[in-house]
Amino acid sequence: MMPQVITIKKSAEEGIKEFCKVLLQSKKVAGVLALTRKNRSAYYSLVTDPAKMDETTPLAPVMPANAATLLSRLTWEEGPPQPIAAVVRPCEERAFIERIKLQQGTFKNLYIISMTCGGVFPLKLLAQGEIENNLPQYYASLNKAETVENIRDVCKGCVHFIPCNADFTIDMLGRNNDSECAMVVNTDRGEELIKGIEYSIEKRDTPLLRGHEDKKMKGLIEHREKVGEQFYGEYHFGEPGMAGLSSALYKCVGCHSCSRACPICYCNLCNFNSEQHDTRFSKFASQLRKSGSVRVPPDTMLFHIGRLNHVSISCVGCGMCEDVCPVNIPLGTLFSEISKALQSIFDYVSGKNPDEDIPVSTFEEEELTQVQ
Amino acid sequence: MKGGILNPDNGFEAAVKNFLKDVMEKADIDALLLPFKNAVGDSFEWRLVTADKLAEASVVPPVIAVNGARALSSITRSGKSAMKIAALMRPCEARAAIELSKLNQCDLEPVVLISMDCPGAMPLQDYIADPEKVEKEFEHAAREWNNELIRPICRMCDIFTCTESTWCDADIHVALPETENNAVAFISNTDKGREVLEKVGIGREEELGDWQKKMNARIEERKAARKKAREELKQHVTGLNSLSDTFGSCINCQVCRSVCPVCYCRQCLFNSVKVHYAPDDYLLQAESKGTMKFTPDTLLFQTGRMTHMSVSCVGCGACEDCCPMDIKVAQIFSIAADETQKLFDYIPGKRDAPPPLRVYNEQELKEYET
Amino acid sequence: MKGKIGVFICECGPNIAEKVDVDKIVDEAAALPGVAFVAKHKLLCSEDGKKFLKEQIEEHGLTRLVIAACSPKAHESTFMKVCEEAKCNSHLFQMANIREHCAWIVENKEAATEKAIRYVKAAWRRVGYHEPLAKKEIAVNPDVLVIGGGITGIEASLLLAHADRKVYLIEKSDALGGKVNEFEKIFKNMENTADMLAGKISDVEKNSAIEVFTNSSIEEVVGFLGNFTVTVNKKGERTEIRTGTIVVATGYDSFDPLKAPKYGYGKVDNIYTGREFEVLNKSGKIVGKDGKTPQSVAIINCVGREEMGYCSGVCCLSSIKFARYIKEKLPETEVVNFYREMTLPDKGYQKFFEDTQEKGVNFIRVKSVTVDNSDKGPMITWQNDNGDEHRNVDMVILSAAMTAVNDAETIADMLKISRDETGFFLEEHQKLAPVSTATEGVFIAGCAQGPKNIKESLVQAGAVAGRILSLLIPGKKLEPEVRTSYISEAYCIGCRMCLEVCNYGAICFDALKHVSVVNEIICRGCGNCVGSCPSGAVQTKQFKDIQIHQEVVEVLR
Repeated sequence: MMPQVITIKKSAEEGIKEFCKVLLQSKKVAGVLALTRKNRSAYYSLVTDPAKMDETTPLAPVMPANAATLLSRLTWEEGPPQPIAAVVRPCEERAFIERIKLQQGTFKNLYIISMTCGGVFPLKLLAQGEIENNLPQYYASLNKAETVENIRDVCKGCVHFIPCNADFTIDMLGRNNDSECAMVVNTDRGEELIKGIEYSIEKRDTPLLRGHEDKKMKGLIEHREKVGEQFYGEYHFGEPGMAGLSSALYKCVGCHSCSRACPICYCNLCNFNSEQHDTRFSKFASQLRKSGSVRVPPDTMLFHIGRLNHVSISCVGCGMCEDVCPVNIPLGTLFSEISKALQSIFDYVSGKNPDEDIPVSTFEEEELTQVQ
Repeated sequence: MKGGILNPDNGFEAAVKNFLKDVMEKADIDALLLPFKNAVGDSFEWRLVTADKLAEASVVPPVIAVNGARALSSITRSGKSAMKIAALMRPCEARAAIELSKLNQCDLEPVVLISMDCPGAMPLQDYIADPEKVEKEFEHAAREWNNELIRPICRMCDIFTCTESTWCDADIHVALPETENNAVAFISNTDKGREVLEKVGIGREEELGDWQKKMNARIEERKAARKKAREELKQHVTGLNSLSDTFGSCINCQVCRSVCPVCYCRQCLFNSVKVHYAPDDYLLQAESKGTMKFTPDTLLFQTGRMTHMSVSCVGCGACEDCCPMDIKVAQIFSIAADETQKLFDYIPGKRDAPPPLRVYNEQELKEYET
Repeated sequence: MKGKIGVFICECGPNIAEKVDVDKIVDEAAALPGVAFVAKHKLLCSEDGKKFLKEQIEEHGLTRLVIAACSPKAHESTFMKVCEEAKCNSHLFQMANIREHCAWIVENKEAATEKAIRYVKAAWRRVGYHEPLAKKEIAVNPDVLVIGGGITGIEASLLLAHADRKVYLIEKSDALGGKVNEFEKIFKNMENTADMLAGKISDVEKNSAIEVFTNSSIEEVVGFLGNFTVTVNKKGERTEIRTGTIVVATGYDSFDPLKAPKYGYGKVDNIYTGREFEVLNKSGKIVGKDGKTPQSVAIINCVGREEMGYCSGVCCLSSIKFARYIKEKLPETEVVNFYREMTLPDKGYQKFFEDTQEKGVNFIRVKSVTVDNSDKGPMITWQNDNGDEHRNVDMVILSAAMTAVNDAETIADMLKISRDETGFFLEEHQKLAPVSTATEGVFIAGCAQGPKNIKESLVQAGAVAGRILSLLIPGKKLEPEVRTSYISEAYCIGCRMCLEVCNYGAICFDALKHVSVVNEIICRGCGNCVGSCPSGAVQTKQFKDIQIHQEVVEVLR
């Protein structure tokens, strides 16, 4: 069945702004969450006045925070009193679905608008004021369904650039986005929402509909998978065991920024900041006696392995961790590649299916026999 | 000013290492806390070591990857230390350690705290990007006073040494008199420090007048630099609009807080559910102006953090080193700290001065009463 | 919104009704989500009003209450009692002050109504975040421990023992009586002290309810009102005494004239402090250090007044007493009293002074006075309007100020009470609570609280006894404050800022867990600790961050 596609004769960015304006004006939604980039600042805005949509840049290729955390705040407890629409990237949408499974949010009164994603630039580029210069090249690559060369490493290796559970998806990859904004209506509730809105809504074919089966998309996926593995090897993560891991993590300063930026890390008080991980002096003394040398503060590896343990089943490879790391540890690549491997053991893809429980919460007697 | 002078054969680093070796042998010290280059060679780390590991240490590392006070606090915070430890760090780190001890986050009783004349440090992220290049630059910069490659926060630092006007409450301070034969001087500030120098056999009576004069001149230079920086930075944070602009690119990652040596909370109030409100609250707030930065917590975090730690800020620069958005956090906070500390006549790092919040003085801040 | 909220608006007679559109408030309140019932009433605090309130709560099954009326200070407890009677937890209730904060200060009726509506909405918002707090009751020990066996301590002990309380009387010297022991006579009637004192001491010794510890000192005090444990050290032997209240009747010390060298003490012969003179007088023979009878004696007042910064209120009278002593024993000796102001409060002291004048004592008013050596003995130089004058005398008596006892700081630390800038222990309120301290259960009386004469000390002894008798009644349980602070163990990192700023000593440190802990019985819910904690680990019940925030957000909407 041909789905509905909304077409707006403006660029993708202007088009989505227009769409959001209409949603606000017609009071179909009370607020829109969308990115705003102003020079070196980028942040999400909660817009209630349609006219203020003009100030936003919903498709800016930057991620100052993973929107999943923000969506949790907006849908706390019973959700917002009135509907809200949010323009977010596929990994943000997937991360939010994982958070919903962890009781940290709800779909109630929330509409997700996502897009086929060409990746985002690292925050460093934003801090240096270089985003503007890189935009033409970004859109050119989007057009050709090619990978932009200076986006986040995890984006270069990301195969989940097609959103799974958005109500609306802006078709961007592999097409010209300068003069037409095409948005596929994916869900029934999405269709319900746009009832009565006067727009060019047609039923038509679009590459997005074939998703991963589309030739261009397939090619991109294969290319991206190779790139991901390549990075993993390059960063010495390929070396087996603790040797490989620790050599990459030696320069970690224990700031825990990765954990705070991670959309899956949802604890109020991280276990690794709690009193349970205070080290009594006697431990230092005994380690000193054994080896004559103790690195302090302790437990660098414990933190990362612990965090891997806690989040990798849900990791969506957004790369926030890597962007905020003050010492440039390729955490994004590390976590996303390990997560990919872990999730495949359970035949699980984080954020793909809202009805699928997180494997750690289900018990099957006959699993993981290979590691027994 | 008086101290003990050693005339070493092979430079500052060797002299200090010899001294530490003596300290362990003669002054009943069981372990040393020092910076070391890490096993991979891509950064520096703190290690608690026995005497035999001393040779590999890096006495004046080019960067402050982890603030020494944080390292010391992680060792002595929990459980009484049965060992006597000598810890060598930069003056700002030593001051931060003393501040933490006042807040019961660091036990200095079993510690001999040693500071040294600090040439400044290089920007951490530059170092991470190209360790070899920045190390070479530091070698040169450390010999040339006020080199322009040193971090901006260092170039406005006036607590880099220990003279009678800018004392440092570490037990011992190691000075580089920069005489012709590269002598190294040891100044003791506390009874503990005096005892250690005595046991090691370093006298304390040699005149350091020339060195003090030179250092005082440098301190004046830096004080002038601070004054200039204040005029410039003030514009960036005066008024809500400037404040919003300057911190506009802040993404609320809070790394500035987590690497700050004097931010000691397990869970920052501004990162907790206490500043999270209901969705309808946010919608209502957004409606008042038609749009709202979401989340609106950034300025609250920055100003709130400043309220909490400003009187203890030692200007170590860890915050600015780690900020992913290149905001001049250290410079701004350090200048603001000058003001808050002046308000209470409080100098962070002074041993016997209790934190202002603990001392109730009915007659203070009268000028702010209406 | 949780539960069924009831909103009641009191008209307070004409007070609120005339200045604010009460009906409009009723309408606005009725539209708020979760509000099950709204009503106005002419006077909610009246018997009829309270009855109405109780009936409505019960009839509509209201679980949370907002009452818009006067100041909580006036009637919060009134309405809380009604809640209790209506079986609705008294803490699921918030008052909105629309009288003192709206009707009484905003002239324009429309503006006053708008403000009142905001206040009501703020209270409605906040009350949804209230938690039901349970009442607490603790058993108490009605015994009393009195520190100081002087006249004040003795009197307080007798009064309390008479009311069948067990009293522990702790005295550091080997005998009861304190400073009063030193006086031969007491002004103004110049009665013999010994008889009066002996009688009181005998009463104490005969009273089986009073246990006396002489040669004893206090080593440690732990606990709180109704449940103190005091360690008493008697010549090395330690006893732990359990008691409910503590009275500090430790008396005074005297100003050391060595600190005021202009009076020549220690340099010039035959200069005595008032207390030294009492000893001399009690010996029966008033003679100088050379054994000779003095032909002239100068008594100097206000010694130490400038230095200490307060008037002790008794030295003028003591000086007149000394003059009388001398005139009784040495009628021929000339007595001159140098004074700055003559302080003669109360009835009868004016006559005491005038009678003494008639006995030939010369009172000279001066601006300042100094004592120096000369070959003719002590020489007094004084300044007044006539300029400088001087004369020789054979003996000088310095009437010195009363000061706090030398170990006042130690006592204050042990009992967690404060001292003021004079060094004496600090009373809870200068006028309304002169014998209690900020620490519940610890009282101060007599000169421990400040310089005074015997009569005033006895008055305070009575006051303390009265307070204690009405505070701790045997069998009656104490209901401590329930709106106390509490510390989250997970968030606390043990910096002890809260401990340092707590005025009541209600927070202690658990060294093993490295966290601070609030003692809910001692805590008065003042919230100082909350303000001092940077991480928000401390919160005060009924005044949590979120409750206050919600109230403020609603008021500002």
